[in-house]
Amino acid sequence: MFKLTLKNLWAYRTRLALTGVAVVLGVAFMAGTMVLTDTMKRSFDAVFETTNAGVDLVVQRPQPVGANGFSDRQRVDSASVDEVRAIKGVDNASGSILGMTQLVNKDGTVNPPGDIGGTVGVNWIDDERLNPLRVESGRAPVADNEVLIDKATMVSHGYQVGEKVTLLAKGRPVTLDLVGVATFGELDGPPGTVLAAVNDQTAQALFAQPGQYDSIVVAAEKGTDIDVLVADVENALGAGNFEVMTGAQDTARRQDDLHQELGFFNTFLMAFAIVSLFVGTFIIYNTFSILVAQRTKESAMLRAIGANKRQLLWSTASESAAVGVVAGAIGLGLGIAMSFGLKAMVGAAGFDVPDGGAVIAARTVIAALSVGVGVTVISAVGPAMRAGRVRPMAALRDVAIERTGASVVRTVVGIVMTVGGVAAFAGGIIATGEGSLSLIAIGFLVTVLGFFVLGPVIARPVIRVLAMPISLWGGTTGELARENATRSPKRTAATASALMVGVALVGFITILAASTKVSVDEAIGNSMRADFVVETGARGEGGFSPDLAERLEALPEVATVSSYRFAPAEIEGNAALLDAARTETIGDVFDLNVKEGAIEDVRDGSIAVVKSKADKQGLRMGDTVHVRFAADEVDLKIAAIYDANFPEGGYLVDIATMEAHVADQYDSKIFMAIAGGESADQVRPIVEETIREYPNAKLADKAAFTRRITEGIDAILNMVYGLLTLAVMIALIGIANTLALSVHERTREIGLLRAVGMTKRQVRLTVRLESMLIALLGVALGTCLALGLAWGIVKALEPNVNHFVVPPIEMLAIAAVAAAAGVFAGLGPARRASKLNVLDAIGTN
Amino acid sequence: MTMTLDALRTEVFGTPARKPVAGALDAVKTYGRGEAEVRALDGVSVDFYAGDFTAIMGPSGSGKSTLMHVLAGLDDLTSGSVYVGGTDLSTLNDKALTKLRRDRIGFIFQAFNLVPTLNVYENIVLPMTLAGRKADRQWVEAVIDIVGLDHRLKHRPSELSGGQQQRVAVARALASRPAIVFADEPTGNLDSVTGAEVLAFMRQAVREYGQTIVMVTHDPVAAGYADRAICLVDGQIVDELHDPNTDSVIDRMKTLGRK
Ligand SMILES: Nc1ncnc2c1ncn2[C@@H]1O[C@H](COP(=O)(O)OP(=O)(O)OP(=O)(O)O)[C@@H](O)[C@H]1O
Ligand SMILES: [Mg+2]
Repeated sequence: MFKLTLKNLWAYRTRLALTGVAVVLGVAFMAGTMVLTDTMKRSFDAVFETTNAGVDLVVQRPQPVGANGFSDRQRVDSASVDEVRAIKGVDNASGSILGMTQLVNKDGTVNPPGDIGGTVGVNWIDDERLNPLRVESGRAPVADNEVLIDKATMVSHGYQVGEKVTLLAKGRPVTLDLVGVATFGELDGPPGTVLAAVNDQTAQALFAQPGQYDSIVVAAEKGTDIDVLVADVENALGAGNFEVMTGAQDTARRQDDLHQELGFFNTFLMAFAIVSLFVGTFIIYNTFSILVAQRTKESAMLRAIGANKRQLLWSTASESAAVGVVAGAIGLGLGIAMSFGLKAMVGAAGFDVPDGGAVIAARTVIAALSVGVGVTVISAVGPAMRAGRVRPMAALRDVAIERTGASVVRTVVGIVMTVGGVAAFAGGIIATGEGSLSLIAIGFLVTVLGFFVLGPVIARPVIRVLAMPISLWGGTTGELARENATRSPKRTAATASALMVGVALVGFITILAASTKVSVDEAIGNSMRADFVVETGARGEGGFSPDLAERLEALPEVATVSSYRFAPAEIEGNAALLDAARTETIGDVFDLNVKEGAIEDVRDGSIAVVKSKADKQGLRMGDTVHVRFAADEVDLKIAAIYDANFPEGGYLVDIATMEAHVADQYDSKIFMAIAGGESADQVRPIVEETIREYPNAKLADKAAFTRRITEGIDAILNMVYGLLTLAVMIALIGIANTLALSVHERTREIGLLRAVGMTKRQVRLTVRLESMLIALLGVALGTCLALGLAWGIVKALEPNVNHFVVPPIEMLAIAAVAAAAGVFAGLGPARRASKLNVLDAIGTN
Repeated sequence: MTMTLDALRTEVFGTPARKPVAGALDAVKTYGRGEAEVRALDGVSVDFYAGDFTAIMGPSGSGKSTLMHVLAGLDDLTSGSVYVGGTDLSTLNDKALTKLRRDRIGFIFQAFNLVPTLNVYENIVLPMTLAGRKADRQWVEAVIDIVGLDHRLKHRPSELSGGQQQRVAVARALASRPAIVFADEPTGNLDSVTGAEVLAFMRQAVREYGQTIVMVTHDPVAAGYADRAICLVDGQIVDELHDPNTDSVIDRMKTLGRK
């Protein structure tokens, strides 16, 4: 029996190789993702380890607030540093600043903010134990206007000691003298990050607050018991006010935080790997089904001469396992190569990933191989069991055209699954808590499987409809193509299902993006009253110093200015971003659609809440909302309830309230209305002149402001398209594979057609049309799914997305591309069919 | 240069010097090389006349099928020539040969004659639809009538018996009014009664409509339906019988066997 397995593997090597490719691509995607995240993890882990290499203790304020990747922690006073330094067992203690800044490049562009892939501003610490930087050339910064940067940045940005370096600090450009360059541990610099070090006083002024540090780093005396020292420092500073950790603990916590952030990234990419593998299962299932069907006679003959069921089952199962092992191994190799491609792709969408040798963990190897084998074997179980069930009698019977597929059981099961899947999907959308995402995923999966089960039932009628124009135009070839596509509904449906998944996802996000764009357009169109908006043009942190808004307000041509900012906070016990605006003037530049109260009344001690949140939490006018900032907490009274999509946070306070509780203040947007009698064209250059000093400030009018938001949606859309390409490619391989097997199966028939006068061209056309029909079936089913799923999501996203928009051109383009790809997939099999030798094919003798 | 069957018939019965519809001249077909060379056809010259029903007989491996295949343009010769309706097939490329098969030649194989996805009627008119031509309704109906399939037209081949399937094949071979029909053991898979039915239809087509048919067979009874029987041995024509009947064929086979 083992010999038979080997023989089958060899005999069907081309088919199995193509099938294997479906697994290879999915496994490669998965392995690539794992390699990439592991590589990123290692790079960043090393950064934290280097930073804390000589640090025995880290002392900082407890209970930071944070949400969506932003966080805020109260700072420590210089006095505390002295206090710690005096504690017995402490050899040296230093205030440490690790703040946000942005490097202004030589061409005037600005590096992104944030500590990963951005720019970090630190204070130079003279103690080598507490400072991971080592001066490589020049010297450490001493005077207030001196700066040192990491060597990697110097090389990549082309700086030289003695030049000027401009930083954007607190939203204001500052030019410093470059006096030195340093290495970071073993590296030239922390990966992907620009490091700028200045003296303590400058660091406080630029990256923190005067007289304050972000934390205290401690080097203990030799031979001190660190655990005892932790307790001593805690006692000395007063329990509860400070958090004291060993260097190792601090490192571990930072690494954990980062791993969590990477976890999201990992999950995101993994989802696409799973989609690819999922699509792959259809292909494998189908190939083995067809192979088993084609070998029915052979199997029956084997049964007749004494092979038992189990032997036949095992023969097919081990065949699939062999395919899985090989595919898993190749997939692993390809995945390692692919990790670089993924990196570039993710980088293109704006997430910069540092360089570093690929990390290939044992876990990745095991996962790749076991997923390869697992997916293949599981997909082939059904067909293998069918091979086992072949009865000896089948050897004598000719294989007739498969007419089965439309059984009542199948219809009922399919409908139940589809309905259940849709329900789970909808349920997952409505639910917001943990697990809602997996409910959505399960819902999607079950719906797709429901369609898969229903496939054979609906394949025939749907293809008849789709084929109408084709048979009108294609004549006999069209008719033959249609008949061929419907002769085995199970096979056709399974093949189309793979493409269906791809089309469903592509269509789904296309509709979702279009709906969001139209909704955003409308929302901004309805509420924006500003003539101009100054923006940073970058996502995330950072912004402008509040004095930019003041300078703009001072312009006689500008009538109203209202700036907008946000800060992380804990609102009613939930991590959130609290919005702030000049409530006095925001109404003049942005219509918040206030339902109750007045936005001008939102002053010191009060807050405005978005209607959807107020409804959900049962908040009314006059109720208090508890807000905890990094440093303190307050109860704010609700003075207005508004109903607008922007600002996104849902809670809005006056700028004054924000300034009273949050240390660092940045305006992230400044709305302006020009004075009466002025024209926008005349005012624009004046405003542009004013913002010129702020290199991250970008001026936008209403249209540009909207465009910027929709451009962001497009960027994500393109990335998702890119990631879904793989799933679609796998589906096309599936079509090619099925057709090749079908052509093989129909050799005699094709020979006959050629003998009675079908030209080669007609043979080719027939196969291509069949291929196109299968693809169109996938498109039709996928589009139905996409419409349903997108509608569900849009409903769930109300009122943020309040239009369900099906973009006709995009949807038609998807259909056209898929159909064309279908024809493309059929090219090979079509050529093979037309090249069949007529005499060999009929095999009359 | 299409010639209607009526014209052919006039020609057949009107002029004493009969005109060949197809034939071979010094046809040689070899397979393999050197030691392993097989001469499937070893200098065959033969003409098939309009309105004639010819049977080709001979032992297994004697080259009967090969002869049919080269005559029908399904295979090419090593040397010599074959022609159909005045055209030398060696001058035609694959496309032209395909058109010739479609428009001028009818086929009946031993089995698997029909396209399983098409129903009986569609199978019968297949060569014409492939050519994008409209079928001659009257003629097609007449043919369907001859083979007695009028109540089965919407059925698929898999729903027919072997005999019925062969009758459909005969109908298809006749439906496009080809210059010549080639049949390779058309009754080989049928029992004697069903086989006799199919043979009777073929003979009817020859007698009533002047169809030219060339049929390969092993069966002396089948050969008895033909106007002429040709015997092939080792790729060479060794004998020819006119108006053969079962007994004369059996006699002749015995002599051949003794040689
Ligand atoms: N494709 C081929 N390759 C090699 N030899 C071939 C090929 N086709 C036929 N032959 C040989 O040519 C000879 C004639 O074959 P052919 O099929 O014409 O015989 P036949 O008279 O039709 O026999 P049967 O009555 O068994 O059908 C045989 O010896 C056969 O082995
Ligand atoms: Mg033969």
